[in-house]
Amino acid sequence: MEPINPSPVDGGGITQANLRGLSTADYLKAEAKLTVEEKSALATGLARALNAHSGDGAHFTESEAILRLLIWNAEPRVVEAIGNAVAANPLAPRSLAWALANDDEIAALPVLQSCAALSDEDLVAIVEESGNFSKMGAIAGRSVVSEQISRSLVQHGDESTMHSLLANVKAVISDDAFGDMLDRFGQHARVQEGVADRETLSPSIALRLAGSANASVAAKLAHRHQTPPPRIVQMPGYVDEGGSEEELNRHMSKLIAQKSLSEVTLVHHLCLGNFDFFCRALSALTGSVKDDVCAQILESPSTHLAQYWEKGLLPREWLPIASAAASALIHIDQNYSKADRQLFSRNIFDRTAALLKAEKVSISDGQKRFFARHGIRL
Amino acid sequence: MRLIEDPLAQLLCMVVDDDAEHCKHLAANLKKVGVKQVLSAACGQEALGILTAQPRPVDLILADVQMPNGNGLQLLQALRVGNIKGMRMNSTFVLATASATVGLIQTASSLDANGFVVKPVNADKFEATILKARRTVFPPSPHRHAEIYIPDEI
Repeated sequence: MEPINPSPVDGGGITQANLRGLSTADYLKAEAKLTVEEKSALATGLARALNAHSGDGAHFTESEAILRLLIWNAEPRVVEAIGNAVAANPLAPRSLAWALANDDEIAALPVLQSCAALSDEDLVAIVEESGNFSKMGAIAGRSVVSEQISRSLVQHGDESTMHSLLANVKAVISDDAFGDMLDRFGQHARVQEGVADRETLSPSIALRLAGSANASVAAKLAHRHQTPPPRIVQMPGYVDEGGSEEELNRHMSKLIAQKSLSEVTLVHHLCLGNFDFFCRALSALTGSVKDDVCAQILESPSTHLAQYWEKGLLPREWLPIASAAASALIHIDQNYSKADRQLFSRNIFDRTAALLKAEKVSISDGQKRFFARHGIRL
Repeated sequence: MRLIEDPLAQLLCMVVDDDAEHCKHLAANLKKVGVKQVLSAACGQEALGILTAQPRPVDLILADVQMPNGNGLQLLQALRVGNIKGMRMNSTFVLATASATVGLIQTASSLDANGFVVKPVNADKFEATILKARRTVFPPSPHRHAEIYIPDEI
């Protein structure tokens, strides 16, 4: 390759015309003479032409190395220019995309939003480690957001991340992730709206949201997702189920067929104060009459719950937790106000945790995670 | 005079270089930008011993690449795969070298080096490089980093 002729006029002799064949040594020789504008132009030219799959290995590795040096050492405007060029180049290599994605936001955001070189694992690692909500928002807006990424965003993002994710029609969001989202942000009207606006929602999520949504969201759910119209039924415990008995029973059968009625769901509903849902689910799982289930559990949670739990083939290790949650719900229902639903549920969670601690119940890691999601350490 | 709280003043840094003069020079550069505590070592092996024995984790390592008894890349890899007791895998690590070859840049990048300084160090840009290295925190990926082969002699 011809040696470059450093000249302050044209950026140390490096021009757009002679970028091909530019070596790292050439660049380092000229670096001190380049202005920020010249470095930006050089970087943009190299980044646009990068092709990770081209046959010209030598040119590619030299360009990649020069760009990497620039990312480490150049001025923020230069790194921003590289970020934009790499984001727009579908053939850019992962090495540069990764370096930029972990750089300052100004360079990272376009790459996180658009660059195809980053894998799901890369993106999940950034979501889990960066603690940066702007970066999470950019990831939530990608043209492809897998179930794995959505789950991670729901677990680590803030309310604004949820808006970006929900607004992205191409984001794949599992029922588990929707469930976690409603646990964390279900009280926020904009999150409720975003969930209700999704093209498709499973019946269990639609019904769950309908139970806590405001009137406009409930109406939207009924229109878009055919949930039963909102209706309050007075039942023992705190109850907010909608629909006729027949509709609710039919829905419960559907949940069983979809294997959505897990022990975690049951305990979760108890802690939310949804005693009616809990009894209806247990009666559906065991083929018992719902009113009997309700009455017997209210009479003695520890005795009768165990029978239903066993009959429903639910995992034994969750029985002490369900039993504590049922006792807690009954106690809180009888002694505290239900006016503030969130506070009511918080009280049930806290009382459940206190009972488990007092009884020295052994708690598995999965169970600890369940409580941790609700801010309780066991 | 530094009137606002200096983000570098509280850092505990380490300089690793087999050339005693270079080592002093790098340490002097760090002190010039406000770092108050700088440890030093002459090779990767010595650095490992000092890092492991430290009661408080070192915040930033600035290491030469070519050194006998554990070069800078080997030290960086030991950090990234979690082989340095008491140190976070993604602690800040800046490499310094007089010969920035393509292969070296690629390996440094694969090991998520937070900074890469070409010697002789440009004193004007040094502070910006160190501050940027501190801001750039990579998620740990010990399995990926363990797969990178690093020869004793570079």
